[in-house]
Amino acid sequence: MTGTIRPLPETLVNRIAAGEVVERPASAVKELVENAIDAGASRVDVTLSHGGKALIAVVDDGRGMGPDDLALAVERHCTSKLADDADLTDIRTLGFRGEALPSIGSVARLAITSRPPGADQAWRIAVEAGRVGAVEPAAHPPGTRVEVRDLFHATPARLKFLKADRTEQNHAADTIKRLAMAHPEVAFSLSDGTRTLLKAPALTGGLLDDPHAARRERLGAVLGREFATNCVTVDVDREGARLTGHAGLPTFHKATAQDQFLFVNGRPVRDRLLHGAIRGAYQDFLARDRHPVVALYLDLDPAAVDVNVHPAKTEVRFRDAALVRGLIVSGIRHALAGAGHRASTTVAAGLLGRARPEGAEDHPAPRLALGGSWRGPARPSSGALETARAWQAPPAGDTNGPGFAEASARVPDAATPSPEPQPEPDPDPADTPLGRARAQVHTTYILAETTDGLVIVDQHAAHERLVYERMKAALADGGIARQGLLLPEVVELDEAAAARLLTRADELATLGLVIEGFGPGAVVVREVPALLGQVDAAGLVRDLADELAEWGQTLALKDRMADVCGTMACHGSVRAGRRLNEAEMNALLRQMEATPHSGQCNHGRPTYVELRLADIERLFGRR
Amino acid sequence: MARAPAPDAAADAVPPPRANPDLIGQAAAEAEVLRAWTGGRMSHAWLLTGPKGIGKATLAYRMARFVLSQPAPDEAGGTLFGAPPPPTDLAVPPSDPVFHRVQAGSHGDLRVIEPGFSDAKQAQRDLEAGRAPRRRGEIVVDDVRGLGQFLSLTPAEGGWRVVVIDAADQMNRNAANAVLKVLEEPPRRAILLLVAHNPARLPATIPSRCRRLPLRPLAPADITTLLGRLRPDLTESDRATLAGLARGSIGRALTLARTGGLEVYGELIDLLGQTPRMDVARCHALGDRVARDDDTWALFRDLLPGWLADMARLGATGRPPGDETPSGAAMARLSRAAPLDRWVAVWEKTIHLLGRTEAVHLDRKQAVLATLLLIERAAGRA
Amino acid sequence: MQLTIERSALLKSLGHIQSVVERRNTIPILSNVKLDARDGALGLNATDMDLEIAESVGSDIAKAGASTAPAHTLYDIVRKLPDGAQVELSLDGEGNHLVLRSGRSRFNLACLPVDEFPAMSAGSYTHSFSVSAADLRGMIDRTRFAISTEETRYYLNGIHLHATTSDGVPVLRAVATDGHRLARVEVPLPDGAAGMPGIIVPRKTVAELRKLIDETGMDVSVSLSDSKIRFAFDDCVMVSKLIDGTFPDYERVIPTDNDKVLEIDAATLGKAVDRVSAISAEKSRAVKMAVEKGQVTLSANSPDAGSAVEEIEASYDASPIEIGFNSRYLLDILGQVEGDAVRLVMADASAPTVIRDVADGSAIYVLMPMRV
Repeated sequence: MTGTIRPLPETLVNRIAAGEVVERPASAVKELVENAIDAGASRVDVTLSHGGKALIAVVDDGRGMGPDDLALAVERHCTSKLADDADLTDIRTLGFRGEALPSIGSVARLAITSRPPGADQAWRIAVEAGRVGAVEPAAHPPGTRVEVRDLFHATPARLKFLKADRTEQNHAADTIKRLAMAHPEVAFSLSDGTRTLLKAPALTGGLLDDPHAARRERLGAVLGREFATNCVTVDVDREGARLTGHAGLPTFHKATAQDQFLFVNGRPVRDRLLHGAIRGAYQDFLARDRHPVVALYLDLDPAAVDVNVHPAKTEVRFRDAALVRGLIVSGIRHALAGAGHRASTTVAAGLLGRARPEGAEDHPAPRLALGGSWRGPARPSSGALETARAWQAPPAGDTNGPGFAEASARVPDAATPSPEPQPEPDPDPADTPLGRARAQVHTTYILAETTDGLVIVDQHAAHERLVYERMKAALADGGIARQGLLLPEVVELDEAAAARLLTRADELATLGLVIEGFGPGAVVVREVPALLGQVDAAGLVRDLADELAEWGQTLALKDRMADVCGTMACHGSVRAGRRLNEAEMNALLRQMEATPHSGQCNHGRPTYVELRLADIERLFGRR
Repeated sequence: MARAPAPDAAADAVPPPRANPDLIGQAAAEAEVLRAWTGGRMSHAWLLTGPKGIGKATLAYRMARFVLSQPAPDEAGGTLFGAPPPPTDLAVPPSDPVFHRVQAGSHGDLRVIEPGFSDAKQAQRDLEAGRAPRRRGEIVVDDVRGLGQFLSLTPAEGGWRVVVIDAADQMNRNAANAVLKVLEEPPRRAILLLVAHNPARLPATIPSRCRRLPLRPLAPADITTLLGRLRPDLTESDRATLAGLARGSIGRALTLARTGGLEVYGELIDLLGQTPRMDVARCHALGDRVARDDDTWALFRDLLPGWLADMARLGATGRPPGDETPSGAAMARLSRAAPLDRWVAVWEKTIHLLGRTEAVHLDRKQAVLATLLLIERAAGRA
Repeated sequence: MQLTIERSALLKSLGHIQSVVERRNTIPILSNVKLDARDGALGLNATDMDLEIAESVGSDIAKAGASTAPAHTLYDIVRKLPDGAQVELSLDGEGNHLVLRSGRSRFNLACLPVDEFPAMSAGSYTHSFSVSAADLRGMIDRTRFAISTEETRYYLNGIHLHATTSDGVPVLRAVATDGHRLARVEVPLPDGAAGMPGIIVPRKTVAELRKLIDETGMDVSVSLSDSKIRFAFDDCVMVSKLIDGTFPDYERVIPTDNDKVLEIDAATLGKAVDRVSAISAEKSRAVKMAVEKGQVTLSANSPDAGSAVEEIEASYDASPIEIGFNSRYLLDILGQVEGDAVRLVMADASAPTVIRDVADGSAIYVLMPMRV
């Protein structure tokens, strides 16, 4: 045996262990930034070079560490040594992440420079591929600077495993975004050495008094201004759990669920239950392959949640999962309902960008739409929207409601622009958010004039949404046709499930499913919703029983009906290409105003866009 | 038996389970099935378990052919000449029409559920060109579709209907649920045969509704016999070595033979035989070779700990090696070179290190060298 | 195997049988048609493993033998040969290829061994009888619309055929139901059908059978056992698996004490229902019937399009009743009525209604109302 086969280096164990804590630059960034936040920093600046492979530098203005703490911080298993006599804060601080610094030190060149506020000088310690150097005096302002250079240089195999610089940088940026969203009181910045990739100033003073505004500000800084202007505020609490945050408008959607940020007690998590709940909340508004953007903060009694199920995957487990799901679904739905028929501005903004003539670059891109004169009162779910509903909605008790065609048929001629008997016989367009129809173009779009702008409506999308909402309303009003079964179907269940279902028999009957008890542990299905056609009644009943057991809700039936409604609404709606007269167009506009969620069709496309006069003027360089 | 290996030179010699008339070494399992049949206690669902490559699917098809050759239950025994003699084994000769149709996949009363083609269009082209199309890694609900309809119709040939699921532990959740529905309400005159390499991966509700039929690894002699039949090109000593390494799996023996396992193994034994003075250059060469491709790396991860365990066992039982092979000689020498507890520690460390290397993508060559060094040091310190 | 056959005869037979061969098959032999030449005829045989159609065509057999060849390819080739051509079929030396010669064309088709071909026809039949094509067609046409497409209750995915008595007269009865409506048709029991087991003929078999009936005016001889059914036409034989299940006790759901009898012109009612239901595009179009002395008022409304009302004269003397039906179901049934008048016998808005063709006692339909 000659020296060419070298013994396993002492540090191999550390390197292997590091593989679990630090699997890529982003995980090192996460550990370091969390350390900084734990140290009470009010600003954290991160610099990455080559996606963090060459350098990760995290600078904070937190508590800092003295020479003894420094030495201890890079020592493996130091937490157990501290356990007996150390002050509890320190244990919390180093606690779970006690492994992080030594792990990083074992796979990279690590240098920590730190100065506690009030100390007269800073100290520095370096660890090179696992070898710990001595603590030396150094110069540094109060706070800590951690530098990680040449990550994984000691383990080439792992280095090879890393992705391109750009990808690694994105991962690291994503990590910092999540942390920044959870901590609006801390200023964050991320730079790649030449450019600033993220800048989120600390929100102080007045803004902090209004947590929603502060948060929206922070989300705007992190997710982009577009989100801040296209979101609604969520704030609900129930049984000691509180859900706050912001949910994007359904028209502001993405191809992936990447931009759904969830925080449980301030900790970023990715959890199937939570993401599923978000899907559920947006179900009526988005196509299956589109995803909303949300940032939600769930605060609840720490005892009600287990966050340590799997630290790496950031899964969590709730004691009362149904409560949490319900909170998310109802919180988002409530907030979206409040937004009424407001559609995202991004569509119009994008369109306008394209329409801008050459040489108009120096004009600021016109910011569109949401600020119409009607927008103020319409946005909160009460206000104008309620008023509109009051005089547009079908008479109470008439489940069928006046249909679009029917409504328009009542209008004798185009001279009376509004189809319904109403207090103002000749409404000023200013009072109608979507204005007065002026023309139909390409037999597909309706142009309407408002007091301060122009609205373009996609007639098919709009009508489809109206039909869908009306079907849903009809369902909700109990007007569901039921098909009797010639051969009643007996479904065997366990006794508890059967009993649970039967206690909800009335509710199910309003949805069109009539069941009766059939001895212990069985129900017999007498009638099914006619909408569903030939349906596997036994399967449906079993699904409902499962859901009742799991969620306490009977979603399956509503979901299936909504699916059918959606398909039917699409096929039964005014096709693009049909010529509408003015009365019909106005009728459509009035109904849109009166219908919640009419800002987008069932597939998440907008039903209308608004161009404000000011924006039109900008287009022509008049402003 | 072994999944039909990738179509290459060796493939011709190895018939796929549905066309394989030979089953060696599973007499006990076969007898259990036969007892159940003749005793009128044929279970409607069987779960055939055991490691890969020992004949589970081959037995499943053998059972299928047997059952499909039997008269319908209400016809059996009702003939003019009294009850037919009870069957004495499950064999159906390859000349039998049932054998042909099972092999061709055209038996009206047999439904095989296996992972579907990953690309239907490409598969059609492959089939037309006589190539084996690529299959998905799991059985999805589409692959199970049609099972309900198959079982809801009467048998085509009048007797039983048989479903073979190969392998049941490849079913994803939805597919498993669909199969579970059938198991919960088993149709009459129908038998489901589920092959599972890893039954623990099945939802617990499936095994609980099946009769378990565990198959044991094959005896080395059986492997040698089978290798003689399937790979007559190998030398006798190669076959013996493979049989020793196969751990009872003819599938594993064939894979080893196909992927150059014998050479890697030979080189490893040579090096181990040199302890405590291994040839450094050859160690590096072995490290390079092992690190190069996934198959060889998997082979090494499998071979070395296995060999160490055997060696430690030798030391523990104190049984004289009695084995004239280089491997036997090396084992005998090493097991004497250090106390048993030290070898057990080496074995544990080796497994740990190789596992870690795999898990966190450490340098494979380093790992090979490190393990060899570990062994050398343990042997040298005696 | 070597034979000569007339192109049009071969084409007709291939046309019949190729429809059961699935186009895309991952099991090669299932794409093939079996050819069996012997005794002065060429037997052709195709299957999808659930049903099999066999034809026999007279031809000049020089050498008996059998093989299998790709069905659709063979059909395409024969279809493109000129009318009146003679086709010569033979196997090459090794039997690996079917050689087809016609005029100056020559084709080589890859063959697969006959013993790989699925065997459907094995087994014995316990009952055989003969039924006229018209009767068989009537039984199918007037019941198949009610066959269920929902797969969980698989035993409803076909037509239930059985022998029974109706008012003391032995009959052969066909019944189909999807759980919402039921259709029952009977014909006098043919000789040989007495004591036959009750069977369920799968939907797909019904469809194939219906196509074959159209091409023959002759009687069809039916053979069956509890696991197989066989229909023999002139030169064509179809064998099918059955649904392996028990048809529900349908007699129980045919009400006998309904007392509100409405008689009405079938065509008028059908057209009115069709018009009124046009108001809604919904799948579950409900049409409401308000029945009072001498008159029926049909109405439908849709949250979308509005409402529609139509009045029809009718003969009715019982107390007024309002009852709703799925208009499509109602139209399906009215479509089977060949006579002028249809009779609806009702009890109340939630109980099954019996519908009959006044002029034809052989069919009875039961429809479950819809509740709006």
